[in-house]
Amino acid sequence: MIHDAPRFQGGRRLFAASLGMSVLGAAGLLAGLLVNPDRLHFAYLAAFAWAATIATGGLVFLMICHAMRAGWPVALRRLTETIVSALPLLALLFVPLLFGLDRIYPWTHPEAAADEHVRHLLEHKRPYLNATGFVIRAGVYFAVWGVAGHLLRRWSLRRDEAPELDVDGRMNGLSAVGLPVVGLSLVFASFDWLMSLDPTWVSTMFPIYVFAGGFVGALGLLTALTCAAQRAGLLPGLNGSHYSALGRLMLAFTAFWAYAAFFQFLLIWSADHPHEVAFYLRRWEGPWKATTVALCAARFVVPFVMLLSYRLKRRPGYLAVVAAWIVVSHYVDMHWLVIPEARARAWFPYHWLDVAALLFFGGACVAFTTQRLRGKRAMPVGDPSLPRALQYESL
Amino acid sequence: MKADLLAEFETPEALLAAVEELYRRGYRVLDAFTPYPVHGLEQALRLPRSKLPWLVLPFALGGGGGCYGLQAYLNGWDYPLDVGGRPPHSAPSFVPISFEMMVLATALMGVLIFFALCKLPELHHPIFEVEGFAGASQDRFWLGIDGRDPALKRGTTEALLASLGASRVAWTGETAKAAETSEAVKKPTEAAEEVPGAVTKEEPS
Repeated sequence: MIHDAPRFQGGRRLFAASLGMSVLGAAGLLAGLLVNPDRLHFAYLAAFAWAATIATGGLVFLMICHAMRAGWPVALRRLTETIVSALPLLALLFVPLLFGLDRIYPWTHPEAAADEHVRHLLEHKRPYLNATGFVIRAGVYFAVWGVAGHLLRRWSLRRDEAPELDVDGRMNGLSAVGLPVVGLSLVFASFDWLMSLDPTWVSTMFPIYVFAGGFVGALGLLTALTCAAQRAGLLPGLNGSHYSALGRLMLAFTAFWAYAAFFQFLLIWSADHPHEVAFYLRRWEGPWKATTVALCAARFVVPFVMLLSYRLKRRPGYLAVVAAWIVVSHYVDMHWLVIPEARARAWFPYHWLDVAALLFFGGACVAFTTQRLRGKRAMPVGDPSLPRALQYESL
Repeated sequence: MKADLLAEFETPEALLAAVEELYRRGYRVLDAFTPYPVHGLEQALRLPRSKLPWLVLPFALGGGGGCYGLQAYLNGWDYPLDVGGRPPHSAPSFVPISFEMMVLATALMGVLIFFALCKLPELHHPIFEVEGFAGASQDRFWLGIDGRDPALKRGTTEALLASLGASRVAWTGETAKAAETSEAVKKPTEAAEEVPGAVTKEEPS
């Protein structure tokens, strides 16, 4: 029996609202270009990193589910694909950043470094950290992610119309082969885009930290979307066990994020090397101290304690609130990674440009993905394993 | 739970239907023994959530907090050591060990409390003397009714179980010996339209 789910036809108001948000954000960013172009680039990068890590986190989740032929996530596959489908837009929105590399990355002009040692280090790292390499590598990352996401989504969509099509083998093979490639590209993307903001600072845990945050952010967004789609009647047959499973995954990866964050800190704190601790010292002085403490609470303590509850994980409305909280706290995390590197001594670490960038990226991604989902079903109705996925039950 | 009256069913569906019917008739202290997890059985039996997480929580907090306290006392107050100029009470270095002790205390006490809740180890249980009960780990589905169940009535419940499709009905342990005089045990009557409690047959001593 083929399960039936209605096509997504609405969302026009959502599309208009998010497009409006994005236009408003774009206007703010353009104003920022005249007022404070340096801060604008940092704000733009923070919001970009937020959106890109969530989209790639969704891609990794999608590929893991295909690679291990997971059962229950089939019911949420189309929504995961929708999160991933923002990647082409994100590739496009990455381009403006390329015109301002010299404003945010000190490695673009090693000769300007005041310290002799730093200048020497930057010269030494030049074969990797240079503008041409940066652009080519970014192209490769987006190509890898875009191709994997596009193929998986296209095969899945095609089977909606032709359920007799057997694409399981292809999806499974591509995901199994693609996961290490995607994993490596995520590692180097986090080196390039975020770690090289301070080109003298190195941490091998850093890519795991960024990935863990993006992955739990993607799970949070998926949970919130699932709740919204089910309320709109797009996901018939979904039950509390699916939410519970999402909740457990969020709990596990919240703990994983905390593990990565703490051990990155512990190793650097124990070794106490001046060039390594600088990263944490910058985030422990002035207004950043409060943000650091708040981040630990918001990103780990609050969601962890909330998600421990059995009942909360089975109530879509409450779980969606925690999930949305996680998505927002992931932005605070990205902001915390990027903005202190601006070395702007302000008493308040947040800027109206952050809000503008957030509106721009949030609005643009929602509008774009809404448009891509329109006319499609919110469940992979052609997949023969969907009925079993809907029967999923966990106590 | 101390299954006193046992009934064997051939299929999981028959067992589920029997549990539902017994519940509808007022039986409350039921249990089931199946060779594999039967879908929907927990809901049918109305099993409550395990108390284990709450029982383990104090040990988790005690293990983690106690270990942190021990380190803080030893390193920060009793015998302070200067390690690379750090303050004697350096929280980050205490976290991994506190975490490990929390996990150890939780896991260990979790196992012990689990055994205590299940009343394990138990060297002998009368349920295994029932003929054919070994099938519960092979291909038969057994239902148990606790002797303390207020709806359980010797004489009528056996007949009711037989009418629900039980292929075998038996009392366990001491109750079985006491019931040997009862006709109902050996020959469950065909029809059981009586609601439990409505008809009272002769009670064995």
